[in-house]
Amino acid sequence: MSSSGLRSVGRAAIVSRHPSTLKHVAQSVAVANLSSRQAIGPSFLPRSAPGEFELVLLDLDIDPQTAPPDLCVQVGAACKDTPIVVLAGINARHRLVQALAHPDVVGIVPKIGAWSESATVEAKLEGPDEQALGLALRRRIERAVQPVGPAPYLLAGTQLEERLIGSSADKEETLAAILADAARFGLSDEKVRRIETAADELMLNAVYDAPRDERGNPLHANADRRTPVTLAAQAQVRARWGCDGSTFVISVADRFGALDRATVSTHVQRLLDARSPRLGRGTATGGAGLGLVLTYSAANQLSLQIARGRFCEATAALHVAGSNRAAVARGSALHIFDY
Amino acid sequence: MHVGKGMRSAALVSRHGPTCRRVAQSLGAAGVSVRTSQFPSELPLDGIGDVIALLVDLDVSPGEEPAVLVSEARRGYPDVPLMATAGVDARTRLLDALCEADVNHVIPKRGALTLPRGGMPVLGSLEGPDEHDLFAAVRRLLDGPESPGVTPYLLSGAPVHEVSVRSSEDKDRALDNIISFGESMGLTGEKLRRVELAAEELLMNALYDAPRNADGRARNAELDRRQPIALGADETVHMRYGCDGQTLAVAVADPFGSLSKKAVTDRLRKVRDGIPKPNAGVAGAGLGLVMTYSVANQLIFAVSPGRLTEVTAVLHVGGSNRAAQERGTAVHFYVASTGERNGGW
Repeated sequence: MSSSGLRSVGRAAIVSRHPSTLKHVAQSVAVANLSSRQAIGPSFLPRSAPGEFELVLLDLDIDPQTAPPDLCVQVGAACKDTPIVVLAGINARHRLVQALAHPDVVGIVPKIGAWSESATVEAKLEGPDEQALGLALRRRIERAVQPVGPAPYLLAGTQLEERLIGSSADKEETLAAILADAARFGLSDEKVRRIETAADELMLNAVYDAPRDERGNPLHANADRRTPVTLAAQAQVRARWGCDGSTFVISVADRFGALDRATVSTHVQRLLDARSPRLGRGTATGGAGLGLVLTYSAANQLSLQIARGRFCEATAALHVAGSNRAAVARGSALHIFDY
Repeated sequence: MHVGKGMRSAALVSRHGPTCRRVAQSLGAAGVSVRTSQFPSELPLDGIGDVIALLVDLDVSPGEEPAVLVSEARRGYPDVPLMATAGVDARTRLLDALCEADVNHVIPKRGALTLPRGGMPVLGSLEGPDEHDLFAAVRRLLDGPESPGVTPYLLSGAPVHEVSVRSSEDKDRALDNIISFGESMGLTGEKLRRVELAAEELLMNALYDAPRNADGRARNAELDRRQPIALGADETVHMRYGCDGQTLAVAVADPFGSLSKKAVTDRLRKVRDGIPKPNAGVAGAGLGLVMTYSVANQLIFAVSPGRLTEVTAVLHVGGSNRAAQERGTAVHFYVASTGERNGGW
C-alpha cells in the first residue's frame, strides 16, 4: 500500500477562545497543512523567535473593548516579526480595517455573517469561511513566485478567459468581455454591478497607477482616467477571469510590483472615514487608492500578490451563488502576499 | 433565446425563478447556454444547437409522477443525458426519477430538506440546485466518464492524497489514513463519522462486490465481509481523497467496471421503501450504499464497463453538520457505453 504523507509544513498560532471560531480556524489551518498552537489571549502565547510560527491568527472578539492595533501589539510582543491575520465578528467591518494599522497585519477576515447588521452576536461569533481562509493560508505558505491567477479560487477544471491589456482602449474591451460573460451566466444586475466595479477598478489601477519609469516614478498616476494611455509592450497588463457557478474571480496583474503593504493599509483605512470613499474622489484623476477601496468593498475576497519590482497581481473573488444580499453579507476579506 | 448552430446548450423545464437562475448560472459558467420551457410539452424540438443535457424540474407539477414528467420531456430528446431536480418532497421524488425513469442525474434544491419532518415546502421557500454541484456535474458530462478522482469537486490546487489497496488489511490502513486526515482537518463527531462511513463502504464495495471472474461473475460478493481477501497485482484499487476546507471528497476506483445503474437503483429503493434489518457480515444487502447515500452530499458513479468503476462521495464539511446534511444528496451516473451488467453494490 502506498500513501502520501501528511506532515505539516509549519506551525500557526491561533489566539481565540470561541469554540465555534476555533473549529472553523482549525479546519482552515489544516487545509494549508499547518499544525497549530492555541492560546486564549495574546499573553498566553509562547515567546517565539521570528519564523517559529508561520503566522498568528488573532480573533479580535477575544476582547471587543480593546483597540485592534493594541491587541496586535500584544501578539507582536510574544511573536516578534510574525505575520498576523485578524478575524472578527463583533463590529467586524470597522475593527478589521482598524487592525490594518499594525504593520504585521497581512490579512483581515470577517466571520460568516459579520457584515449583516441584523446578525445576532452568536452568528457573528460563528467563525470565518473555512474554504476561503484555508485557501489564503495555503497561498501564504506556498509563496508562489509567479502570479497565480483566478484558478485557486475556482473548482478544478473551470475554464479561464485571458486578455492582455496594452492601452486604455484594451481595458474597455476587456471590461466589456467580462460583463458579457457575466450576462451569459445570467447573473442578476446587482451581481454584475459588483463584478463591474471590481474589474474596472483593478484594471484602472494596473493601467494608470502601476506603471513606473526607469527611476520608479509613476507614469500615468496623475492622468485623468478619461485620458487614453498606451502601455509599452513590456508593461502590458494581464487580466484573467472565470466562474464556477458559485464564485466569479477576476485577476489583474501588472509588471511593476509597485504596491506595498503600507500603501494598501493606508488606502483601505479610508473606509474608517465617515464619508464614502467615492465622496472624496472629486476628480476623474484616480490614484489615491480609491479603486482599491471600492474593489475591497465589492469583493468577498481581495488578494494582493506583490513581488516588488516584478509584478503585482490583484485577485477579486465574488460570491455569486444564491442571493446578492447573502453574498454581500459574507463581508470582505483582504490578504496581502508581499514578499 | 436563440442558440447558434454548433453551440452547446441545455434544455430546462422549470417555472421556478430561483431554479432557472441557478441553472443558467451554473451551466453558463460551464460554457453551456440554457433554453427554458415552463412545461415538458413546451420544450422546443429544433433549433437549439448541440444539446448536451435535458434538465427537468419536477416541481413544475408536484402531483405528477416523476416518470410521467420525465418521459414527456424525453420525447423530443431521446439520447440526451437527463437530469432532474426537485424541492417538493425532494428525496422521494428524486429517487423515483432515478430508479423508475431514464434519469442519470438527480440534484435536490437547496432548502428542500430544511423543513420540520412531515412539512412540505412551498415553492417560494425553495432555492434552486447548488451551483457548485451542478457546475461540476455538467463539466464532467462534457469531459466524459473518465477517472478524475476528487479534483472536480475541490478548489483547484487543493492537495489530493492517494492510497493503493489490494487486500482487506490495506483497506483498514487506508481507512486509518483517511480518518487521520479528517482529524487533521479538525473534523470531529458526526462529520468524521460521515467521512469514515463513506470511505469504508466505497472500499468494501471495491474489494468485495466489484471483482469479477474471467466469465464476468462476481468473485467475492458472497463472502463474509469479515473474511480477509487479497486482489491480484493487476486489480489494485485506488482511493483518492482531499479537502479544501469546505468540501471533503473521497473517490475509490477499481479496474473491473462491473457496476451498473440497475444494481445501484435496486439498493437506493431501500431509502424510499424502508431499510431491512442487516445481518452482521453478510454481503450483498446493499446497505452500504444506502448508508453512503445518507451521509454524502453528492454520490458520483463513473463506469467504463469491464474497465473501470469510480465511485466518489462528496461531503460538505464547512459550517455545521446539520446544515450539511440538510443539503440532501445528489446522485450522478456517468456510463461510457450502454453495456450493463449486474454487479457492485
